[in-house]
Amino acid sequence: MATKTLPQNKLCTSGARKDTGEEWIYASVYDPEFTPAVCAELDELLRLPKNWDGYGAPKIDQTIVAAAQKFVAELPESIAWRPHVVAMSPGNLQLEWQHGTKSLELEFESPTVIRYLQWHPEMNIEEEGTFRVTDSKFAVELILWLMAGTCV
Amino acid sequence: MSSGASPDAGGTKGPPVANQEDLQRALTYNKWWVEEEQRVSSAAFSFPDFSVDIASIAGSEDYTIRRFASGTGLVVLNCGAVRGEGCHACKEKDQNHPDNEAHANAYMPTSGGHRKRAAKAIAEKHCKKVIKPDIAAGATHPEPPT
Repeated sequence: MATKTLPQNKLCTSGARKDTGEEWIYASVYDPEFTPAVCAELDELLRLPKNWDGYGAPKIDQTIVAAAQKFVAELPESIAWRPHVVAMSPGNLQLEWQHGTKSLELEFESPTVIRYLQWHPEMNIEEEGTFRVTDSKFAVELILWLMAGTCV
Repeated sequence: MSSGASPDAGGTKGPPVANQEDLQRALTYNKWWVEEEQRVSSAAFSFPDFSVDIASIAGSEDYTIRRFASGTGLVVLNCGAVRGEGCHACKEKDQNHPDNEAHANAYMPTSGGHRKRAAKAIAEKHCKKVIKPDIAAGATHPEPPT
Protein backbone atom coordinates (compact mmCIF):
# COMPACT_ATOMS: atom_id res chain seq x y z
CA MET A 1 0.00 0.00 0.00
CA ALA A 2 1.28 3.43 -0.85
CA THR A 3 1.90 5.87 1.95
CA LYS A 4 0.74 8.99 0.20
CA THR A 5 -1.87 10.13 -2.26
CA LEU A 6 -1.09 8.82 -5.69
CA PRO A 7 -1.37 11.27 -8.53
CA GLN A 8 -3.92 10.35 -11.16
CA ASN A 9 -1.26 9.53 -13.73
CA LYS A 10 0.33 6.94 -11.47
CA LEU A 11 -2.77 4.86 -11.09
CA CYS A 12 -3.40 1.46 -12.50
CA THR A 13 -6.57 -0.29 -11.53
CA SER A 14 -7.69 -3.80 -12.31
CA GLY A 15 -8.61 -4.95 -15.75
CA ALA A 16 -7.74 -7.24 -18.60
CA ARG A 17 -6.55 -6.16 -22.01
CA LYS A 18 -8.11 -8.23 -24.74
CA ASP A 19 -5.30 -7.64 -27.18
CA THR A 20 -2.53 -9.02 -25.00
CA GLY A 21 -4.42 -11.09 -22.46
CA GLU A 22 -2.51 -9.09 -19.89
CA GLU A 23 -4.02 -9.01 -16.41
CA TRP A 24 -3.58 -5.89 -14.36
CA ILE A 25 -3.16 -5.95 -10.65
CA TYR A 26 -5.53 -4.10 -8.35
CA ALA A 27 -3.98 -0.88 -7.13
CA SER A 28 -6.01 1.29 -4.82
CA VAL A 29 -6.02 5.07 -4.72
CA TYR A 30 -4.71 5.53 -1.23
CA ASP A 31 -6.06 8.86 -0.06
CA PRO A 32 -6.93 8.95 3.64
CA GLU A 33 -8.00 12.57 3.22
CA PHE A 34 -10.53 11.75 0.50
CA THR A 35 -13.65 12.09 2.64
CA PRO A 36 -12.68 15.19 4.67
CA ALA A 37 -11.27 16.92 1.60
CA VAL A 38 -14.31 16.32 -0.59
CA CYS A 39 -16.69 17.17 2.24
CA ALA A 40 -14.80 20.41 2.82
CA GLU A 41 -15.17 21.28 -0.86
CA LEU A 42 -18.87 20.59 -0.56
CA ASP A 43 -19.02 22.88 2.47
CA GLU A 44 -17.41 25.60 0.36
CA LEU A 45 -20.43 25.53 -1.93
CA LEU A 46 -22.57 26.75 0.95
CA ARG A 47 -20.53 29.95 1.02
CA LEU A 48 -21.58 30.89 -2.50
CA PRO A 49 -23.86 33.92 -2.32
CA LYS A 50 -27.14 34.28 -4.13
CA ASN A 51 -26.46 35.13 -7.80
CA TRP A 52 -23.08 33.39 -7.61
CA ASP A 53 -23.30 32.62 -11.34
CA GLY A 54 -24.31 36.13 -12.40
CA TYR A 55 -27.56 34.77 -13.85
CA GLY A 56 -29.57 34.94 -10.65
CA ALA A 57 -28.73 31.50 -9.24
CA PRO A 58 -30.05 30.69 -5.78
CA LYS A 59 -27.78 29.66 -2.95
CA ILE A 60 -26.79 26.00 -3.02
CA ASP A 61 -29.35 23.82 -1.26
CA GLN A 62 -28.05 22.86 2.17
CA THR A 63 -29.97 19.59 2.20
CA ILE A 64 -28.37 18.57 -1.10
CA VAL A 65 -24.90 19.35 0.24
CA ALA A 66 -25.64 17.27 3.34
CA ALA A 67 -26.86 14.38 1.17
CA ALA A 68 -23.72 14.57 -0.97
CA GLN A 69 -21.49 14.59 2.11
CA LYS A 70 -23.24 11.51 3.48
CA PHE A 71 -22.89 9.84 0.09
CA VAL A 72 -19.15 10.61 -0.07
CA ALA A 73 -18.58 9.47 3.51
CA GLU A 74 -20.18 6.11 2.76
CA LEU A 75 -18.08 5.33 -0.32
CA PRO A 76 -15.61 2.50 0.14
CA GLU A 77 -12.10 3.59 1.02
CA SER A 78 -9.63 3.97 -1.81
CA ILE A 79 -12.25 3.69 -4.52
CA ALA A 80 -11.21 6.67 -6.62
CA TRP A 81 -9.31 9.89 -6.74
CA ARG A 82 -11.04 13.05 -5.58
CA PRO A 83 -13.81 14.31 -7.86
CA HIS A 84 -14.20 17.83 -9.17
CA VAL A 85 -16.94 19.38 -7.02
CA VAL A 86 -19.00 21.94 -8.88
CA ALA A 87 -22.10 23.99 -8.12
CA MET A 88 -25.02 23.96 -10.53
CA SER A 89 -27.10 27.04 -11.26
CA PRO A 90 -30.44 25.60 -10.08
CA GLY A 91 -28.89 25.33 -6.59
CA ASN A 92 -27.71 21.75 -6.70
CA LEU A 93 -24.24 20.25 -7.30
CA GLN A 94 -22.23 17.74 -9.27
CA LEU A 95 -19.27 15.45 -8.70
CA GLU A 96 -17.12 14.88 -11.80
CA TRP A 97 -14.39 12.37 -12.48
CA GLN A 98 -12.50 12.46 -15.75
CA HIS A 99 -9.77 10.27 -17.15
CA GLY A 100 -8.86 11.17 -20.70
CA THR A 101 -12.05 10.98 -22.70
CA LYS A 102 -13.73 8.77 -20.11
CA SER A 103 -15.77 10.50 -17.46
CA LEU A 104 -18.44 10.07 -14.84
CA GLU A 105 -20.76 12.77 -13.58
CA LEU A 106 -23.00 12.41 -10.54
CA GLU A 107 -25.42 15.31 -10.30
CA PHE A 108 -27.38 15.55 -7.07
CA GLU A 109 -30.70 16.74 -8.47
CA SER A 110 -32.27 16.60 -5.03
CA PRO A 111 -31.32 15.19 -1.63
CA THR A 112 -32.62 11.81 -2.76
CA VAL A 113 -31.92 11.53 -6.51
CA ILE A 114 -28.68 11.46 -8.48
CA ARG A 115 -28.64 11.92 -12.24
CA TYR A 116 -25.56 10.28 -13.70
CA LEU A 117 -23.68 10.39 -16.98
CA GLN A 118 -21.25 7.72 -18.08
CA TRP A 119 -19.26 9.14 -20.95
CA HIS A 120 -16.74 7.30 -23.08
CA PRO A 121 -17.39 8.16 -26.72
CA GLU A 122 -14.53 5.99 -27.97
CA MET A 123 -16.45 3.00 -26.64
CA ASN A 124 -19.84 4.38 -27.70
CA ILE A 125 -20.84 4.82 -24.06
CA GLU A 126 -23.03 7.87 -23.39
CA GLU A 127 -25.40 6.64 -20.71
CA GLU A 128 -27.59 8.98 -18.70
CA GLY A 129 -30.04 8.03 -15.98
CA THR A 130 -31.05 8.44 -12.37
CA PHE A 131 -30.72 6.44 -9.18
CA ARG A 132 -31.51 6.89 -5.51
CA VAL A 133 -28.80 8.46 -3.35
CA THR A 134 -29.15 5.47 -1.04
CA ASP A 135 -28.30 3.01 -3.83
CA SER A 136 -24.63 2.90 -2.94
CA LYS A 137 -24.15 -0.42 -4.75
CA PHE A 138 -25.02 1.19 -8.08
CA ALA A 139 -22.89 4.24 -7.30
CA VAL A 140 -19.90 2.02 -6.55
CA GLU A 141 -20.45 0.14 -9.83
CA LEU A 142 -20.37 3.44 -11.72
CA ILE A 143 -17.18 4.59 -10.01
CA LEU A 144 -15.52 1.24 -10.59
CA TRP A 145 -16.49 1.51 -14.25
CA LEU A 146 -14.63 4.81 -14.41
CA MET A 147 -11.61 3.43 -12.65
CA ALA A 148 -11.45 0.11 -14.47
CA GLY A 149 -8.42 -0.16 -16.66
CA THR A 150 -7.23 3.37 -16.03
CA CYS A 151 -3.50 3.20 -16.52
CA VAL A 152 -1.42 5.93 -18.09
CA MET B 1 -30.44 36.14 -19.00
CA SER B 2 -31.58 32.88 -17.58
CA SER B 3 -30.38 30.34 -15.11
CA GLY B 4 -32.35 27.25 -15.81
CA ALA B 5 -35.84 28.60 -15.46
CA SER B 6 -37.32 28.63 -18.92
CA PRO B 7 -38.45 32.03 -20.13
CA ASP B 8 -40.64 30.15 -22.55
CA ALA B 9 -43.42 29.51 -20.11
CA GLY B 10 -45.88 30.94 -22.60
CA GLY B 11 -44.78 28.37 -25.17
CA THR B 12 -43.46 30.80 -27.77
CA LYS B 13 -39.78 30.78 -28.55
CA GLY B 14 -37.98 33.46 -30.47
CA PRO B 15 -36.62 32.94 -33.98
CA PRO B 16 -33.89 30.30 -34.31
CA VAL B 17 -30.34 31.54 -34.57
CA ALA B 18 -28.71 30.60 -37.90
CA ASN B 19 -26.36 27.62 -37.84
CA GLN B 20 -23.40 29.61 -39.09
CA GLU B 21 -23.51 31.99 -36.15
CA ASP B 22 -21.15 31.68 -33.23
CA LEU B 23 -22.47 31.94 -29.67
CA GLN B 24 -20.66 33.42 -26.68
CA ARG B 25 -21.35 31.90 -23.28
CA ALA B 26 -19.89 33.64 -20.21
CA LEU B 27 -18.04 31.44 -17.71
CA THR B 28 -19.14 33.23 -14.57
CA TYR B 29 -17.90 30.68 -12.03
CA ASN B 30 -14.29 29.58 -11.70
CA LYS B 31 -15.20 25.92 -11.32
CA TRP B 32 -16.80 25.84 -14.74
CA TRP B 33 -13.20 25.56 -15.87
CA VAL B 34 -11.29 22.52 -14.55
CA GLU B 35 -7.72 23.72 -14.42
CA GLU B 36 -6.17 20.33 -13.53
CA GLU B 37 -7.69 18.73 -16.60
CA GLN B 38 -7.70 21.81 -18.86
CA ARG B 39 -11.35 21.42 -19.76
CA VAL B 40 -14.69 23.15 -19.49
CA SER B 41 -17.12 21.55 -17.04
CA SER B 42 -20.42 20.43 -18.48
CA ALA B 43 -21.96 22.25 -15.51
CA ALA B 44 -21.65 25.44 -17.58
CA PHE B 45 -24.31 24.09 -19.96
CA SER B 46 -26.33 21.62 -17.92
CA PHE B 47 -29.60 23.52 -17.59
CA PRO B 48 -32.94 23.38 -19.39
CA ASP B 49 -31.78 26.61 -21.05
CA PHE B 50 -28.90 29.01 -20.77
CA SER B 51 -28.00 32.48 -21.98
CA VAL B 52 -25.64 33.21 -24.85
CA ASP B 53 -24.81 36.19 -27.02
CA ILE B 54 -24.75 35.99 -30.81
CA ALA B 55 -21.16 36.83 -31.66
CA SER B 56 -21.87 38.69 -34.90
CA ILE B 57 -24.18 41.10 -33.05
CA ALA B 58 -22.07 41.31 -29.91
CA GLY B 59 -19.06 42.30 -31.96
CA SER B 60 -16.53 41.29 -29.34
CA GLU B 61 -15.99 38.89 -26.48
CA ASP B 62 -15.71 41.81 -24.10
CA TYR B 63 -19.30 42.74 -24.93
CA THR B 64 -20.42 39.55 -23.20
CA ILE B 65 -17.88 39.46 -20.39
CA ARG B 66 -18.20 43.05 -19.22
CA ARG B 67 -21.68 42.54 -17.77
CA PHE B 68 -20.20 40.27 -15.12
CA ALA B 69 -17.54 40.39 -12.41
CA SER B 70 -13.96 41.06 -13.42
CA GLY B 71 -12.20 37.84 -14.37
CA THR B 72 -15.26 36.24 -15.96
CA GLY B 73 -14.33 33.80 -18.71
CA LEU B 74 -16.05 32.83 -21.93
CA VAL B 75 -16.53 30.03 -24.42
CA VAL B 76 -17.37 30.36 -28.10
CA LEU B 77 -19.68 27.73 -29.59
CA ASN B 78 -20.90 27.28 -33.14
CA CYS B 79 -24.69 27.39 -33.24
CA GLY B 80 -25.03 24.61 -35.83
CA ALA B 81 -22.63 22.35 -33.97
CA VAL B 82 -24.50 22.59 -30.69
CA ARG B 83 -27.82 22.26 -32.52
CA GLY B 84 -26.52 18.90 -33.66
CA GLU B 85 -26.36 17.93 -30.00
CA GLY B 86 -29.97 18.95 -29.46
CA CYS B 87 -29.23 22.45 -28.15
CA HIS B 88 -31.35 25.01 -30.00
CA ALA B 89 -30.52 28.70 -29.73
CA CYS B 90 -33.35 31.19 -30.20
CA LYS B 91 -32.94 34.95 -30.33
CA GLU B 92 -34.86 36.26 -27.36
CA LYS B 93 -34.90 39.24 -25.08
CA ASP B 94 -32.38 39.37 -22.25
CA GLN B 95 -34.57 39.78 -19.20
CA ASN B 96 -31.63 40.81 -17.03
CA HIS B 97 -30.16 43.22 -19.56
CA PRO B 98 -32.92 44.54 -21.83
CA ASP B 99 -30.43 46.58 -23.84
CA ASN B 100 -28.51 43.45 -24.86
CA GLU B 101 -29.48 43.08 -28.52
CA ALA B 102 -27.19 40.06 -29.00
CA HIS B 103 -28.95 37.81 -26.52
CA ALA B 104 -30.30 34.34 -27.25
CA ASN B 105 -31.46 31.47 -25.09
CA ALA B 106 -30.00 28.05 -25.81
CA TYR B 107 -32.56 25.33 -25.13
CA MET B 108 -31.27 21.93 -24.14
CA PRO B 109 -33.08 18.61 -24.69
CA THR B 110 -35.75 18.22 -22.03
CA SER B 111 -37.00 14.73 -22.79
CA GLY B 112 -35.48 11.32 -23.01
CA GLY B 113 -32.79 11.95 -20.44
CA HIS B 114 -30.39 13.67 -22.82
CA ARG B 115 -29.64 16.93 -21.00
CA LYS B 116 -26.41 15.83 -19.37
CA ARG B 117 -25.27 14.01 -22.48
CA ALA B 118 -25.81 17.13 -24.59
CA ALA B 119 -24.07 19.34 -22.02
CA LYS B 120 -21.08 17.01 -21.91
CA ALA B 121 -20.88 16.84 -25.70
CA ILE B 122 -20.90 20.63 -25.92
CA ALA B 123 -18.20 20.93 -23.25
CA GLU B 124 -15.99 18.24 -24.77
CA LYS B 125 -16.42 18.78 -28.50
CA HIS B 126 -17.72 22.22 -29.33
CA CYS B 127 -15.85 24.88 -27.39
CA LYS B 128 -14.10 26.67 -30.27
CA LYS B 129 -12.43 29.13 -27.97
CA VAL B 130 -12.09 29.34 -24.20
CA ILE B 131 -11.14 32.29 -22.03
CA LYS B 132 -10.52 30.80 -18.60
CA PRO B 133 -12.42 32.40 -15.73
CA ASP B 134 -10.28 33.89 -12.97
CA ILE B 135 -12.71 35.65 -10.69
CA ALA B 136 -11.19 36.91 -7.46
CA ALA B 137 -12.41 35.38 -4.22
CA GLY B 138 -15.16 37.51 -2.80
CA ALA B 139 -15.92 39.23 -6.10
CA THR B 140 -19.62 39.34 -6.90
CA HIS B 141 -21.55 39.68 -10.12
CA PRO B 142 -23.91 42.62 -10.60
CA GLU B 143 -27.36 41.73 -9.36
CA PRO B 144 -29.88 41.06 -12.13
CA PRO B 145 -32.94 43.31 -11.92
CA THR B 146 -35.82 41.89 -9.92
